[in-house]
Amino acid sequence: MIAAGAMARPLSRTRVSAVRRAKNRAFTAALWACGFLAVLPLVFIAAYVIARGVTALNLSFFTQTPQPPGLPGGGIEQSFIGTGIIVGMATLLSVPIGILTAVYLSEYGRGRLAATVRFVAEVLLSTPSIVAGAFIWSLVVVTLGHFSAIAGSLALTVLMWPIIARATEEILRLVPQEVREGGLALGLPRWKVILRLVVPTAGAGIFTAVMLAVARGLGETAPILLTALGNDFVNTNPGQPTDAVTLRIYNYAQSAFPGLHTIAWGGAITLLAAVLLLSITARVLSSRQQSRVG
Amino acid sequence: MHAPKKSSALLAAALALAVMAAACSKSPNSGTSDSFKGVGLTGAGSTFAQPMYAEWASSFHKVETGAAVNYQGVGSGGGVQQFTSKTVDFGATDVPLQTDEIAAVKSPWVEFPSCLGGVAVVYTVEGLQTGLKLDGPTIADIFTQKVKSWSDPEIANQNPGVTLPGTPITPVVRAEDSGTTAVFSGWLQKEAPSSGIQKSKSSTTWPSGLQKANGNAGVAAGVKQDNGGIGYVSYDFAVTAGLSTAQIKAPDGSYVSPSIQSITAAGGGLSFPISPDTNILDSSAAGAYPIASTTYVLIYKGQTKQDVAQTLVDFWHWALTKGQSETNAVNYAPLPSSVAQGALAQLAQVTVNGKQVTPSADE
Repeated sequence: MIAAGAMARPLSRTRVSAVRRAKNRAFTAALWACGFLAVLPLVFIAAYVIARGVTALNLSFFTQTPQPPGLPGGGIEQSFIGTGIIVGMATLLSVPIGILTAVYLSEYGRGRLAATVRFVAEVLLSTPSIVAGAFIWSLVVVTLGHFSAIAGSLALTVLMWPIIARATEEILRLVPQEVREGGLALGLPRWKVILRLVVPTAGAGIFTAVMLAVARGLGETAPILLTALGNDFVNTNPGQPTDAVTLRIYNYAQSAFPGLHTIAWGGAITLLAAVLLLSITARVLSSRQQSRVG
Repeated sequence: MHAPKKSSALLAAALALAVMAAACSKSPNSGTSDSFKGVGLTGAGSTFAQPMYAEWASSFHKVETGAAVNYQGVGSGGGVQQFTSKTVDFGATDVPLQTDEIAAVKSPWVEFPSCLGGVAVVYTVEGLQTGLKLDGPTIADIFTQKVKSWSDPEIANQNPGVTLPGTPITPVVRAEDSGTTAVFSGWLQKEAPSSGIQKSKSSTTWPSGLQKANGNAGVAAGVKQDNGGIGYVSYDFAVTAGLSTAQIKAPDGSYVSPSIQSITAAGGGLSFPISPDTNILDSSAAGAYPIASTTYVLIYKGQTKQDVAQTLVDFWHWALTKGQSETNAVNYAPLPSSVAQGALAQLAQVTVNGKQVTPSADE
């Protein structure tokens, strides 16, 4: 504060030249314009998707399976149920793997093994999602002899756990060392310190990491195409081919029937809304967390 | 320490939602009769056949209430790949299995056609009605841009009495790999060997500089927007898009419009077994549309699961008999009855654990 005051004083005393003020204004305006431009695509995408697809949103859109091509009506109920199953199972699989990896990396990991694990997670983070799909296709789909929701979840897990692991590790590192020391000083065993103190302190941050991973899983098409295949009927058996909203959008966008295009846009709205909701939830939680830890 | 509890509760709620979505299942409608109800089937392949198979699947669901025939159009190449890897109950392809693909199939299989389609030459020229007459060499010259104007003598000679505007011709071709391109370029190669057009599903078969568009929809839009535009789309699409279609010169010298009747007529020449060279281009049958194509189904002969095999045979038996009348609904052409009989004979070779599968009686 003292330093800032010392620097501010000469400015307030000597008149800032008109040229410098003009420069300042120009740059401020440029920065605002850049910020505005960065937000513009999201606004346009949201507005365009809503304009194109809002007519598709009605009750039957959520409660019916597709009509034969060319006939009006029908919905994509099976896609919503399928996405729920696939992403739900992928979350159940990737949350424990991701969080436990993060705990290992931040609390125990030293030396070469930890470096390797971190490297693997980072490589997986930047792996094209279709590679994960092709990997699970050859490993699971061909071995079992059929496409399935399980295969879809496994492909998503490959993409989701590194997100959770890396983000959670960063959050756990933010937990003050004093918290750990305090616990140990009270005679708590190390596992209890981690389970009762470190992880709960980072709780909202970990939840944010999970939400980001779920949002990624919701939006994936390629790995699901190669593993869950898609389905025109409602399927709740995880061992059978299952639909997903992204797959529907992908298929219907290429269709010859204009009615199906509208349904694809409708699917895009619901997906966009879900991802926005998850992102906003994650934002709100992480800002709360920051105000508490900081 | 409030936040952690809240967040884990939220997490639990999210997971519970997912599980609930999984649990709120719809049990298949139980029919009143004690006849065979069928089970779920998975098929993948030809995108061309997708609307037809979706239509059949929807109707067959009412015949066998437990039968959910899930067909996904992943492309003909993908259909053959999944069939070879045995990840689907049936594969579908617009091109018969090729020699190298046959080498990769490990067990005996049957291959039969299910329905017919055609490639329509579509155009938009102000002052020109539908039904312009064109032969193969002229179309080849148009797509290699040797013929550049609608009033070119090559077109005028075939259309006496038609006033042709001098509008420049803008050919539109498919940008991505496509079975439609394969059928169309294969026919042009046959009709005009000197044009240099080679049978290929890729757009590289066309001279560079042509307007390219994605999908039948893209080509149709390109042709519609451009006065003087010409392109090729599958027949069902030409109908739904309401485009003008050319009459194509058949081997007997007559000009034939694409229609369900003329495409079915072209299918009469199909013979079994299906070989890598099987096609129905330039059929010599009377009134046959020259650029006709078919789509094939691939099923392994030796099935291992009783209910899957039974549903598989029931579905395709139904599609090749009663289902043929539904082809019109999506502007596909039915198989001529002799060809449908041949396909049924192929289907009859499917066995489960060594025993022949006979279609359920109540269809």
